[in-house]
Amino acid sequence: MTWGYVFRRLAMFFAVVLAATTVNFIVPRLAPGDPTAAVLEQLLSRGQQVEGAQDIVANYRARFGLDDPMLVQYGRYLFNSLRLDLGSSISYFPQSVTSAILAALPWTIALLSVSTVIAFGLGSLIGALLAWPGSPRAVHRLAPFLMVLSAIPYYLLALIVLYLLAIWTGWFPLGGAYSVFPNGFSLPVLWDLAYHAFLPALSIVLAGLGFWALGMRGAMINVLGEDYLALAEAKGLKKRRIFFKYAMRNALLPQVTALAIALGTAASGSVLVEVAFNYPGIGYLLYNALRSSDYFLIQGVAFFLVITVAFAVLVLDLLYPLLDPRIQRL
Amino acid sequence: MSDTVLKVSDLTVQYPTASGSFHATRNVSFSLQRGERFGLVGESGSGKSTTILALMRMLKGGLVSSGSLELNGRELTGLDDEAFRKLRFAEMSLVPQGAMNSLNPVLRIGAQIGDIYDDHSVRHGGAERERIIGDLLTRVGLSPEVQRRYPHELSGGMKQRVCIAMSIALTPSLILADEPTSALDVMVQKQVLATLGRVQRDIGAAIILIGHDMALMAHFVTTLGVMYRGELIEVGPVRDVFSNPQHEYTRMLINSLPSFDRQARFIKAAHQEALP
Amino acid sequence: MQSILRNTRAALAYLGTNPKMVAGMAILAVLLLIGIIGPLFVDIRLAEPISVRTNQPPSAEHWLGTDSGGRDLLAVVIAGTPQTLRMGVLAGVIGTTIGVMLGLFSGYFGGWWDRIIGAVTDTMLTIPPLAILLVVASSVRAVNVEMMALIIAALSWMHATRVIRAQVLALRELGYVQMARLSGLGSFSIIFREIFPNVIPIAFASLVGATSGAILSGMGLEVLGLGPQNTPTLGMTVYWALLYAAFSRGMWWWWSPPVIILALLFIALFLIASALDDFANPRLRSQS
Repeated sequence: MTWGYVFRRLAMFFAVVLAATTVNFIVPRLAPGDPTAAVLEQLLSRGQQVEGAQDIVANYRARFGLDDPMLVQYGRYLFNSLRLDLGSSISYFPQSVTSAILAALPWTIALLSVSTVIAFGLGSLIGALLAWPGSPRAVHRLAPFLMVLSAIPYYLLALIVLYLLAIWTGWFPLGGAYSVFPNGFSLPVLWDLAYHAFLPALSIVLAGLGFWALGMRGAMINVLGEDYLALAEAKGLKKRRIFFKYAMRNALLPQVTALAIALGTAASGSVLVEVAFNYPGIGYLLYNALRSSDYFLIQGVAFFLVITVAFAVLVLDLLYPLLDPRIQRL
Repeated sequence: MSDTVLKVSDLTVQYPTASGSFHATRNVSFSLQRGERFGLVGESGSGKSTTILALMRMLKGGLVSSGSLELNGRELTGLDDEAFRKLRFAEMSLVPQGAMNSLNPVLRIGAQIGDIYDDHSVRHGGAERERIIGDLLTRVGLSPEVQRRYPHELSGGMKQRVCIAMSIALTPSLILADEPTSALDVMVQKQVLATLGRVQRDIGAAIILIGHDMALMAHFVTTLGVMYRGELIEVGPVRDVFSNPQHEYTRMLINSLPSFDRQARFIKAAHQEALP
Repeated sequence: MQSILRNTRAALAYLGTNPKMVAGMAILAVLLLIGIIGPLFVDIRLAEPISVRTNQPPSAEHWLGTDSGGRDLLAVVIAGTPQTLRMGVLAGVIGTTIGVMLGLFSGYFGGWWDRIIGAVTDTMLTIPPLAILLVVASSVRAVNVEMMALIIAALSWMHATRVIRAQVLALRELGYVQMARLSGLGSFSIIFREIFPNVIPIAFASLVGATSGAILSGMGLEVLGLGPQNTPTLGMTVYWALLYAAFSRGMWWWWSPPVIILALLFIALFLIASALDDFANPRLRSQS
């Protein structure tokens, strides 16, 4: 890992942030009509309910400085976005977009990271066993099942899981993340959180499992053909050691690279899983924002989704050289 | 204890294919004494590598259909897999052909050598293990510090030396070397082969060297076997084979050497090398 | 040209015996037939709101029942399945065409173009597609199937670019490509006559993958309520079902047909893409 590599990765991160900001800036302007018209029209339609309508309009005008040249507007928008000043939310007024999102984000990050780690680890292990000649027959019978699982998207799996395990059997709650909003952490509170998070997490794990298993199987088949595996066998090493230390250890490297790429899709998928389960993360926030045409909030969620994933990818890429000694260290 | 290290009798290896089974070796028989250097030559596909893989029980897809393999007086063909695993590198080790890719790229050299001890129930303390691996590396002409390096930090010759060091880690009585220098530069080839010869003599192991370079072979081995289409068509002391080849194919191999003058020198060299 | 024909024959011979391909194609054919033959037996105008009695469970009259908006669900499925497929294929074809072109040029010419295209591709791959689609779709509001396909296509070229580029990098160094270059053949001729025929299997696998991805993205937008409001696509049906709490009201006949058909569609496309991958990477074949 050279400084050049670190620099390139950081540049990529900021390119993503820039791209997300630019899309948020340009797209509403490409849409037919004045950008304020849409907001005003919408504020008028709910004028009675929103006390702060005037504030929001003022905020909006100040934010866009609609009389300034486009480039100045863009610069200001970029600056505000980088400060995480994304305007006011309509549906969660008087909260700002950022504070509404920051309240929801921990739920999403916890759900997504835990279930992705489980899916990645378990899927990779199963995939490695699928390619391993010495693994039990039962493992090989899993292959078609995993293939089907990997094909069905997060959201559809979530609906199926929701129906089977919550509605039909009644084993799990229909949705939400808690019975009573948790004040502090105690064992019953954690149990309640886990009980509510189980089905959304299960959906994400099941949806990811097949993907990681099939990817790992491919990587493993490549590694099994390598000379160093033949020598490891010739050395008289135990099967278990060859499997973990020589085959799986090496086949995991391309998997980690794939993880960086798959994270965006996983995030998109889990947003929808949250919608299916009314899980109070940014997916659910987004759903409410869409229902009430809260454009600032929609854009804010999109922006946060992009930068969170980009940040995770950045961390993953910077950690990767620790796993692969062939990449030069600093 | 008998001086015979390895006795191969009537070894036949078959590969089942779509159109019937294919004989990779047919009735191959030979034996090795303690410390003997046995060379196997022949064109690719003649069954040299198959013979070695059959010895190591590492045939992929092929099977030993008949014959017996006796190592240090023990029959190997009926041995269960776990017993065979323990025997690998402890009694019979392998120096691989593809030195460039034979080391795990993400493990340090020391860890890759250490694994051999760990899985053969040889326990060392941390410092002791480091010293033993360091000694091993010194014996093959490498610095002890190499154990802390990764394969990509080593040259091809150094990697092959590491493989040689591994092959003597448990002082086996037989080393199998499958074209151990074919992936290296000509200059490095000789040095690495010399190192292999030196450590082999040090530990008193017998060695089977596979190669197609008759010149390199003549310098190194005492006994020469020629394989052709899966059969061992000629075996004998290297000078006998050179001076009085029995088989047409052997004659062809010798005649393909650059000149009679050089042949004479090889034979002379072979004589000298053969002397202990 | 001849090599394309020969390759096609080899591909068909292999794929015809690949069980994944056969199964995938069979499922896809059934789903297509629903859209083609269905309208002959069922009046698809019943897919419009308020055309039948609401909230009826399946019966002899309405095989799949009716929803709360007064639509006949069998008609919805028959009218919606082709719409969903059309949107996916349209977006897939556009996206893959862009992706293959970029991959070919990037891999063949190398240099700065390659770096720029590579950096943009890698950057775009890490952006959750849903995020961008959301912003666009929520601003554009009234979308139709074609517009949605276009928006989605803009985000589904990266995978094709990546895999084609990697393949071209390997092909570029092959003897016959070098020969073609030495014999003074122009770059475009080399790219399209010598290199392109060899990446067709991968391009096809990408196309199927992109189509599946497009249907996935489309479904994502639809279940958030951003799909075409007036077209009864499968995703919109799921959206309406959820909006009107079909789950908790026990109206399983409402949400389950679109979910099952979508799942089958994804499985079919996955099987086909996977079979094409097997064909393109023979090393994986023996294991599956």
